[in-house]
Amino acid sequence: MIISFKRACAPIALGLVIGSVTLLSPNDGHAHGGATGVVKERMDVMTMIGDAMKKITAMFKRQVPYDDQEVARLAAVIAEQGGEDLTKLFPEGSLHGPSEALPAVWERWDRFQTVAAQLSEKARVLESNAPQMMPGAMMSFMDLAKTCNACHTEFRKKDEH
Amino acid sequence: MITKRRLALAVVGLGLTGLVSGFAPLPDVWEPSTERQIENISGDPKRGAYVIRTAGCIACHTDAQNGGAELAGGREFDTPYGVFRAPNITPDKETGIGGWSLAMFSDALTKGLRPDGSHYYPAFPYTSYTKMADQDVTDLKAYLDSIKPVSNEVQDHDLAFPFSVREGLGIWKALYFSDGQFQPRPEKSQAWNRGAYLVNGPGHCVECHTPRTLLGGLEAEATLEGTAKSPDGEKVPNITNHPTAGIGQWGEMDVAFLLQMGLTPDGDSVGGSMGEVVRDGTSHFTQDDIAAVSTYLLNP
Repeated sequence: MIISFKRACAPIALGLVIGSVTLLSPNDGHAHGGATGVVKERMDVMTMIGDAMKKITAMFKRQVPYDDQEVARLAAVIAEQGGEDLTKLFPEGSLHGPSEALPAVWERWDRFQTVAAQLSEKARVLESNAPQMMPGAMMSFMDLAKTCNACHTEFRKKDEH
Repeated sequence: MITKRRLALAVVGLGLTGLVSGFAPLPDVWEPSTERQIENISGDPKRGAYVIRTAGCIACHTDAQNGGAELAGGREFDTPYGVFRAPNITPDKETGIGGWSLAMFSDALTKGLRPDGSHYYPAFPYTSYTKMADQDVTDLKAYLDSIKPVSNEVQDHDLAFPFSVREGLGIWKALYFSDGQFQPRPEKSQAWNRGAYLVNGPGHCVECHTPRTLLGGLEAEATLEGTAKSPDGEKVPNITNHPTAGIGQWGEMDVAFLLQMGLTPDGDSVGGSMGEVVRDGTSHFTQDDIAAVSTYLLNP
């Protein structure tokens, strides 16, 4: 349940992922435990978001020094993945391979679109609030993380492995 | 306990014999070990609005996926025993719990007893709620009395034989249920005891994070060790402080971020049933309660 998106993922450096044409190619199917096409694309996007969240989390946990510019940059990376850029990776019925999407994605498409849009909106708020770690950025980060949780709770399969 | 268990096993045998031969209804072998004096306590609905977050009532008693009203029940749980349906716990007098007294409500939560005296299935986690303080039970009732009644008739469970025989639950309770309030450990800190109360009582973490026997009882010796397959088919992680199998390497901030936001240390977001727990429950916890749960889980 907790590590399912990470498990069996080839480690992909964030810098390589951003702007990579290869990543968005529907024929690239070498990672994510056999994922191919659009399923792999969206799993890679989720990995990218997760990596960014992990780096921001480490700063709020004071495991590494807080760097407002880095928080803003990572928040922008997340913001760029939300909205239509995310929902277009979920063509109806794309449940093949190791996809962890629930049919609820298409059954409640409006809600899915709303949450996908919130991902970008909340990330943009974090980006703009990054200079003030406490309480501004922290509160924005919590809002963003709750959006991730809402989407995973409503639209991602439970871990049944 | 051993005597009780032997008695129960004997009754299981007799009961099954009776069922097979078509006579001798199952005798009720379970009785509460404690009596609660709850009638004279006054409830605070505002405090109850917080208690309901600690007790995780909302996720199970709301059919959110089908647009059901909050706490009006109807959510289905498909398990190996059959389909359970969470009841309506709004104060509607016909279809909810609007006609219940405080004693009835307390008996349900802390003794697993329905108003007619029959037993609840343990899909309703009274095995944990029994540890709730009388004040919390009373405040929770006051809160539920204060919300808008919703008329929503919920179908009964649809269970396979022999689980459909509700009378058999007395035997189950004799085997797996000991009622009684949480007993604090005086040598431990206030935060530790509060955390132990939340985890084992209202928060009922043990219900999902502990493996179950074939008959659905919690395996006490494996408390919080997780399970590869919960009754609803989900893999549930080990949250003991074991350094590799559990969360022994986590810090208090890691526990706090998970409970407040659903964020795991590796940047993932939990989703699944825990996502609901976070969304409807732990993300509403006070900072002190988050810290208390961390204190207890990391040093039980």
